[in-house]
Amino acid sequence: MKNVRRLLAILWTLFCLAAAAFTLLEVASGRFVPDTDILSMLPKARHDAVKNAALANMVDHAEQKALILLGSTSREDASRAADAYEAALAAHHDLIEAEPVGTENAAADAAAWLAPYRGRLLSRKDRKNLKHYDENAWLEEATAELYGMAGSTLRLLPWREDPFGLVNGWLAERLADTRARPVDGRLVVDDGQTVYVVLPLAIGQSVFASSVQEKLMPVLDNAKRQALAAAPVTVYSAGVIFHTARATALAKRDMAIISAGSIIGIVLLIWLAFHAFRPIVLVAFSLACGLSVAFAVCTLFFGKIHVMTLVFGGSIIGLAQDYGIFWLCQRAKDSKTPSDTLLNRLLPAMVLTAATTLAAYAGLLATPFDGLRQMAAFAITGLLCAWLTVVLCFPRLTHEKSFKRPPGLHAYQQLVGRWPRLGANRLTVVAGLLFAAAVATGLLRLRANDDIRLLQNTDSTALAEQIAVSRLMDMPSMAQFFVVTGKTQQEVLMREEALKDRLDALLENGTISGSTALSDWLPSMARQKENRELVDKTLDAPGGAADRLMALTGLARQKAPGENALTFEILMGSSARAAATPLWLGETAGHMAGVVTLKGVTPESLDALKALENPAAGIHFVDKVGDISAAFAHYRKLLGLFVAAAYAIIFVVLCLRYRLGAWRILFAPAAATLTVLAFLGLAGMPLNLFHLLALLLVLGVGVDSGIFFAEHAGTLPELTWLETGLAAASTMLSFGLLSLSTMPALRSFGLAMLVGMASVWLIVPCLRPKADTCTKESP
Amino acid sequence: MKTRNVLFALAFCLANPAGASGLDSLNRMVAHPDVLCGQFAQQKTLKGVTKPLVSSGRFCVDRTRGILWHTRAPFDRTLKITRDEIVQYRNETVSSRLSASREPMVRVINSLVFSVISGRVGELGTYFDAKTATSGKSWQAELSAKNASVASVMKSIHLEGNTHISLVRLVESSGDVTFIRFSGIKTGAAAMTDAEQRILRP
Repeated sequence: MKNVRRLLAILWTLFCLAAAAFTLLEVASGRFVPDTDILSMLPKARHDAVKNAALANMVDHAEQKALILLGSTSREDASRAADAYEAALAAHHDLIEAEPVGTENAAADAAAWLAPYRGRLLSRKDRKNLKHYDENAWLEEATAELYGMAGSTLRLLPWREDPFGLVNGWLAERLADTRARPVDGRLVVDDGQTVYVVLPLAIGQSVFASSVQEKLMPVLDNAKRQALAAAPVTVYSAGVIFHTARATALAKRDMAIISAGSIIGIVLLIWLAFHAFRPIVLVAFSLACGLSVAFAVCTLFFGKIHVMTLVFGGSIIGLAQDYGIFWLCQRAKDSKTPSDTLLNRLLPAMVLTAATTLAAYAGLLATPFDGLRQMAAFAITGLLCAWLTVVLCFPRLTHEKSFKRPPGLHAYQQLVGRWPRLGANRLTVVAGLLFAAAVATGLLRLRANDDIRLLQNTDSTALAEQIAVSRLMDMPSMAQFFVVTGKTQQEVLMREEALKDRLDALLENGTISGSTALSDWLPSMARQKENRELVDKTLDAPGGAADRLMALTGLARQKAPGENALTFEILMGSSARAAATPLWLGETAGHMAGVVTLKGVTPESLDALKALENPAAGIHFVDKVGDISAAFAHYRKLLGLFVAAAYAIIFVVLCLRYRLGAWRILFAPAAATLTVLAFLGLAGMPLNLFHLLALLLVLGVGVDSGIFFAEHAGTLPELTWLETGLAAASTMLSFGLLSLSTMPALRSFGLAMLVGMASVWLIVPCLRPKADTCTKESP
Repeated sequence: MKTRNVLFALAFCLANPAGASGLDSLNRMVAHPDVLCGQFAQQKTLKGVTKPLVSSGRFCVDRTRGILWHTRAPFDRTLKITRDEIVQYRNETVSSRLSASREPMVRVINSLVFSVISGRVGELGTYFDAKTATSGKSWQAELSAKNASVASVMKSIHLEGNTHISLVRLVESSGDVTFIRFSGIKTGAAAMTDAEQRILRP
């Protein structure tokens, strides 16, 4: 038997060493790339396939790009700064490259290839004016331009080719979708006060890889410095890279602070308790085993580890060391029993405590949030392996004479002895009433808010620059858009046109500021025919405006445009390809699908947009922010019910062993849960999913300590108190550190854990049995 | 006619080919009043249009506010060009508006037109390579676009004048040619009519 146990211990140690070697190798080789995208935390199955494809398409077009805006009141200064910026990037063209910018001639070129489709392509305004046709007004407009000041009109086709400006008007409407214009070989936007030169950059390697971020960010920072040195300009940088790089840097800092803080804190605590070096080494060993295996398992199982998992993992240290401390305390207390016998005696309680904590984390595995599942998997593996290390190896590494009686015991003992105790006395009643009043006030003030934007790791500078760039460039919303599906491309285009007609109404009343669809660039065959017929019936009618204009000016009759329609193939072979590509998804999940992007979406416009959704007619509205926030709200409510159900189930299970005394075990976590909720209410912090996740763990860990207490209160009170005290201090340290995280989600979680666990540890001693049993000295 | 061509040729032989500095010396010959108004007569020859297109009217240049181009014949139309926008009026109501924030070329057009009409020929050196010639109080300049951006609006400009500008010939990228003759130029705040003030200084 002893040999079997020794063999198991050796095998386990070897397994852990292998995991540690794998972990070191992954990190050292640079293969390890933490996932920094907060959205990968989120459930994937919420959207249907078409919406997912549209979202992926949107992201693919954006994530490997960056936009740099250099602004000044003088275009020359802005251009000089842009030159300096580009020059600084030149040496790193394998990593990042300035994208070619169209020339001034691009618009004129477009007009030239579009000329054959004159009459088939009509701007919204021209279509309206042709439907309510006033021949004299059209004639006057066309003639007046002839007599106007030379060079004062921006024409894409010369007057003689398009005297009524139909192609001109249509193309101007398309160009109005984008703000940046090529001027002197530079892309320029102008907000009325400041002229910005726009540098579109393409990044060659994944912006999510921290190795790429580490190489790229100094290059970009240096380029910015060079630009600022070259001319007095304002520089705005936008792109996924700036957020991912920042998120990675912050996460690394978080991880370092939390892990280092936890480890230093635990080392100090163990030292204070044992005044010995060996317990520290032993606990560190169990932690290293747990974390290595957890890292290896998560890497192999999930492929990629999210930075939040790593930060969260750092806080697991505080929980994982409990098992080691428990063993060490028991070992130190009992200097007679051999380790194997001691283990046999302690095993039921150890299994029970580990099981309750693991069960609490297992609850997270059941959520549809990938990130949470990963964190839960990391925590469960880490805790389980730390526990296995304690159970399998510690009895081999420690023996009867390993430790002296912990010297910190006496002081702690005295503190606990003086701790107020709940009982049938006035103090209890007063404290109870005060607590109830505080909880009631807090709960009444408690509000929930599931807006994903509150949970994003928002670096205000990067975000402000992103917003500034979006505003200056008048970019469409990445988070809200329509997906239009149909059996054929023509059906999609016609459905888009119907949707656009309804969106135009929203445009006119200011609900949105713009929308773009493939059908803008490529009207359906039906619409092209309708337009052509409209022009034939009006401007080009025999004796109509065109004929009268000829007579008036002596203009030679233009060759009538051909009967060929503009097709998808022609469009994609033209310079309009770049504008049209992001709007067409092609065949997706058995449908043809296009994207209709939106501009100027505000929280107020969402209802009106949602009302246009009609899946039966192939119109799907995607609101990523809203969907995600709704998902968070949904799971927050679900988790609330889950926590309540967990209390009920655990109570029933505890009743089987402890009868009605079970309330003593559940009282502390229940009161702590109320305290957390009341605290959030009083502090004006909105409740979110992450707080509830913490409450689930408060239940798990709270029950843990309650069981320790219930099992050992009568027999080894002092050691139980020391253990729980050490566990309390280290847990609170870990979660206290987590509540300093820069990630709002983890901060919420850490804060709720801190308040919850602090409450548990303050309340648990109040529930101890009468003073005589508690202060009785062990022999 | 022939004599004039010879004079031209002579003038250009003597011309200072160093562009901007030549324009600078012209700049000193031209007055720079805050407000300048007068009459114009414009004749356009468009490719494909057989009839010459003749129009006339009044114009005003306000150094700080912008340019007003009031065509009276054959149509009554008003064009206002400022640093920030180009606005077309029809009977004093706006019929179209193009803002610089939507179309950065507005700034280029504004500065170009302003320099030409107000005779700030020195500023044209930014956009054009220049050949200049002077004779007494009169001067001439032949400008050709320095780059594609400018050429997409204006290929070349021929200017004549003395204290103020008197003749402009514009060649646009499309090949359309415009002659503008200026006359009756008055300067100072009083040169502007009330109606012109209303549009230019709202």
